[in-house]
Amino acid sequence: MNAEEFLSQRLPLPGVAAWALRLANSRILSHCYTDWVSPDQVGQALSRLVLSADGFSYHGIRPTRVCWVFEHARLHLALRSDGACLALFVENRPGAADGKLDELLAEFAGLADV
Amino acid sequence: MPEPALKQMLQMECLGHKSSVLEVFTDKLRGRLYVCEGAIVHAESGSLRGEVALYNLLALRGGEFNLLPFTEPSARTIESPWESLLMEAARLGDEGRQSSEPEGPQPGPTQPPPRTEPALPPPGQVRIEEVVLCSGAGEVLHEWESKSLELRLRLLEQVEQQAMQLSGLAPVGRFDRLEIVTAEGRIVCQVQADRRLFVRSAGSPAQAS
Repeated sequence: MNAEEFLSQRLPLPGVAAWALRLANSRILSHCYTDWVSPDQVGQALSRLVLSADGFSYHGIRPTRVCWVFEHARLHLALRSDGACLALFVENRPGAADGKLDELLAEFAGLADV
Repeated sequence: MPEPALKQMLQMECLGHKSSVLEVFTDKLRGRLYVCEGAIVHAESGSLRGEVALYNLLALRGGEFNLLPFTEPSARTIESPWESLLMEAARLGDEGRQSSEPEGPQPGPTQPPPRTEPALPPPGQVRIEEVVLCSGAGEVLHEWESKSLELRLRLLEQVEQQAMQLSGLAPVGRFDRLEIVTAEGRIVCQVQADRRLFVRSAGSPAQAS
């Protein structure tokens, strides 16, 4: 199962507004479930998330997962050693599926091939 | 000297925006600390209530504590931010430290005692390894076990700038914190108008709450 198939099986989940995926070959895929964010915004945010995560290595920090928590949303990023990464844009609202998001991000990290 | 386990646990509950009750007991005293969504909302220690009870519990030497699911206290007696409460407790502890007993209450029967060696703690447990707390203006208020304070301050600045860039891309609202998971543990960087906080912990928290 490739990453796109994986995501189509696991999403949408409550609260998830969009996802963006950078494959190991650097190809970028994204999908928005609401008009809260546009595909263009999601793509730009993914780039910024990846750049910032890369920048943490200067501080001796090598993240496997990152979550930027804002007033209205959480931006999750899961990073794999092959360079692939998955960003989830999740609205802060009651009933958001935090546990399932954790599982999804952990499963993404463990996928054999992305 | 390691930070008392009770204070560490309280700090982790607050940082994790958890809701719980820390039940503290010694031979002579019982007390409870109520944490609701990361805020310390009530404390009771014997006949004491409120902040004075909190400081009393955090100053205890010896004893044990249990982490229990949150239940609503009889009254909410504490409103101050947890950071200032813990700093005040530390200040009071420094002033009053005369006892030769080095440790505060330790995890009770529901939790094994923390390890003192530098290896990762057992699954489901966390150990605070580094803390840097600054004012909103960047003045260092508290630093613990930080090997490179300058680097941490730069990281907090970097996080603030990147959060501003991200919030400019989408209507996400005010930035609260960055949570980083690494192979070794977790890092939380909180940048708010009145404070900047860096906390590094080892191990992974339990899935409860």
